[in-house]
Amino acid sequence: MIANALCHPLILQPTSASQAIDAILQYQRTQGLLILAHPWLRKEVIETCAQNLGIQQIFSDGTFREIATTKTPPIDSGIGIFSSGSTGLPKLSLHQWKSLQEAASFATELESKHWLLTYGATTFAALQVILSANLSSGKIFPILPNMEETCLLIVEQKIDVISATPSFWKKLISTWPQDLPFPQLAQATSGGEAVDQKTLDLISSKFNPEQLTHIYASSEAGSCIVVSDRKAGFPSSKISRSNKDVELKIIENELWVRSPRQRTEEQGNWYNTRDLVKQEGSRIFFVGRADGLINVGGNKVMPEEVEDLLISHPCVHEAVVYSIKNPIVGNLVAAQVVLESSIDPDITEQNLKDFLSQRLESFKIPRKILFVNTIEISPSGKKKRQF
Amino acid sequence: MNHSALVTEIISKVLHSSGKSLPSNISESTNILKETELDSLGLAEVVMLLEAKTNKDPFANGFINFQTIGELAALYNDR
Repeated sequence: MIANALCHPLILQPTSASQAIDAILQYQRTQGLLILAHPWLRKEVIETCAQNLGIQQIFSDGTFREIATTKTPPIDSGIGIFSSGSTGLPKLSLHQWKSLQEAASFATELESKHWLLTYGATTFAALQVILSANLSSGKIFPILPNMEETCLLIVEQKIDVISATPSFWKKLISTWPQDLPFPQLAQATSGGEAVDQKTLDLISSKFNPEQLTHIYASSEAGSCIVVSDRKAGFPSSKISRSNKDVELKIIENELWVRSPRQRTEEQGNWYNTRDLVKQEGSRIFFVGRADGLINVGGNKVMPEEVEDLLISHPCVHEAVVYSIKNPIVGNLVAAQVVLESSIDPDITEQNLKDFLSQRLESFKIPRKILFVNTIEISPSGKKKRQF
Repeated sequence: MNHSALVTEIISKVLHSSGKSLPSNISESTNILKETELDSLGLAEVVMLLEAKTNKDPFANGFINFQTIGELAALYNDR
């Protein structure tokens, strides 16, 4: 079905990860134009995007069709990734094959490895993994719907390269069956969300990877920062150094990027990532998203700050902090917490609130803390903060 | 059903969680913010807990002014 479309610009809403992988690799070979549509985008939205972009062929909802459009596509070769599209029409980021291949070229030292694809197949992160694996003659194994099956897959298929979000890594490690030994990895990569030292150390101690890297990349700006010293944050020298490759600057705690790999339409312009950073000594840390702040009666709360503090409690394995509407103060902070099962089964909501109130202003304290078995993660592998 | 007892119980619980307690002369006419040690964040928590307990959100269509325990309780009465 997709084979007929080859070489012609196509918007693909894949029905499976392997279908997406096949299409990406075929389009890369022919240097065609492929736009990947997330599984949750509605048919009508995809058709509108196709019309606006001048793309005649669509595969969505499991069917292939052609639409009439008078426009011509903005580029004739490359790949397009949509933003999540939670509000309005999703935003498209177009990338040239050449710049994607350059970004993936670091993988050439990982010859013929087995790669686990943990990201939703239509995300920018997945694209990086698929192209890197392909460039180094690797084999790609998409994760299975069930985390325990994925653990077995890792062992049975002798996976040696895993790239995942910190949320995914933590979920993987906490569901790992007790009687299954952890395999050693050649490469472990964390990306998509800020990673803290506790999580890096956890990955390191379980999978003992030869290389442990955390990567900062976005669908708009491409791959920007790669850190391999096993420490959270990144060295401030990445900011000050004038670099012919990726340039970084910080304005009012927000990180700006100018990169040869950023989306084609904005080449040459500085791009505000809206990621908030802080400098401690010679290290720069990600502290949260500028658009993720919770407004509690006029006071701003960064969910990541509260999450990090919750996770620093010895009884807490994972936490997600989000806002709930409130008639008195607009929004209140709420949290879901996964406990470290072995430590203290009697820990209460009040214990955690007391722990936080010694360290945070009162408006930052979650007024509702739910104990849950697992934190939900979105198809991009990131924590869901909307409930 | 009169929810004054429930409102009082929840205010007491929220005060306790931050190491404070209810004044002894509490009644339906007690002004919540002026006559107890509850602050606006505490009150926000009280309203959140009331909604969970009663399954009702009297503020769903906008803010309704109230000052006393009796006035807040009345918002949760069946209408």
